[in-house]
Amino acid sequence: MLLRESSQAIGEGYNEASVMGGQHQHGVAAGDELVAFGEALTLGSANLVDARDRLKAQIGGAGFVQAAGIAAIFNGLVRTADSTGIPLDDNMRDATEQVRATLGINDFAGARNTLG
Amino acid sequence: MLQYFAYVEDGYPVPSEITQTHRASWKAIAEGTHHWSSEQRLDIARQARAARQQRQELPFNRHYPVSTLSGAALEATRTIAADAAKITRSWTSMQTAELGPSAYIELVSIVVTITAIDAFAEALGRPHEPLPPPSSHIQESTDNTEVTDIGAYVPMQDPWQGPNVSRALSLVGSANALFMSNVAVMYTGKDQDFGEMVWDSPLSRPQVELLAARVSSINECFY
Repeated sequence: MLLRESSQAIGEGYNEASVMGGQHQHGVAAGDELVAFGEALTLGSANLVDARDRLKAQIGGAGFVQAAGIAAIFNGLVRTADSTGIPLDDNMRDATEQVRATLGINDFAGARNTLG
Repeated sequence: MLQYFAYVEDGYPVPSEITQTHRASWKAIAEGTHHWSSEQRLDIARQARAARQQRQELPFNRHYPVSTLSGAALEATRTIAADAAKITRSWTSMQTAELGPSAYIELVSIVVTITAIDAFAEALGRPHEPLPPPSSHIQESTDNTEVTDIGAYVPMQDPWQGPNVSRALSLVGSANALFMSNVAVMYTGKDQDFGEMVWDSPLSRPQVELLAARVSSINECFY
């Protein structure tokens, strides 16, 4: 939700259901490889090496380094949010009401405080 | 003298802004504050690294380096590093009552910075960077007096200019700067304000959002 609004602002986007896992068409170039890489890194899976190689082959070195930075920093950002209980600001809470309900995100433990 | 984060020398095309920020983070983590000594801050980093590496193990199966940190500091460090989705207001209240809110925020900033930098190494396929030795330098206190209760677990600055999440650690300016400097460079590879970024990076915005959202979803992070 931190990022969702910006895609809409530039007229691009992805299928939000795809971020919850399972078989979804996300409609993003190299989306399968990006999702697999983010999953493997976050879970510490044995297939990280394979996921890394496939992503590099799809998007090249510069894109891969940026993907590495994004996946890594969001593993820090989620811990920052969880450990401080920062609430959504009013605009974000209103703007994401539908997608939160659709994806079941309101059931995450962190929602108890973040929703305010 | 050992040069930390020699990404380019090791063959990784990492922007210099990321390299410089990671080096500055190592320097800052090794410096003492009036809440934590240099040795304690490095101990927090060491414990956070160990906890995250064992995040798929059940808590009672995890093993940690010897530590002189208090029980509360160890509990906070290990939980944030490995089990952050389980954190509640009551748990945080216990930690801040024991440690003090500012010391807790400094601890959080070290844990999340180590998490991000270690995850970056894993993403690249590179070993974790050795932690630096203790420093005799003491950081100036930067506790923020413009904080208030905004409904979070800890006080935060209000009003706030910039993305909402970037004020999460605003109770201690130096702690917030430590982590947010990494957010700025690791988000786009450039040293620019998190909320004022010009999008001319290799990945498209939808690609970035898909990846970030999937990482957040796996971590069961609502925010």
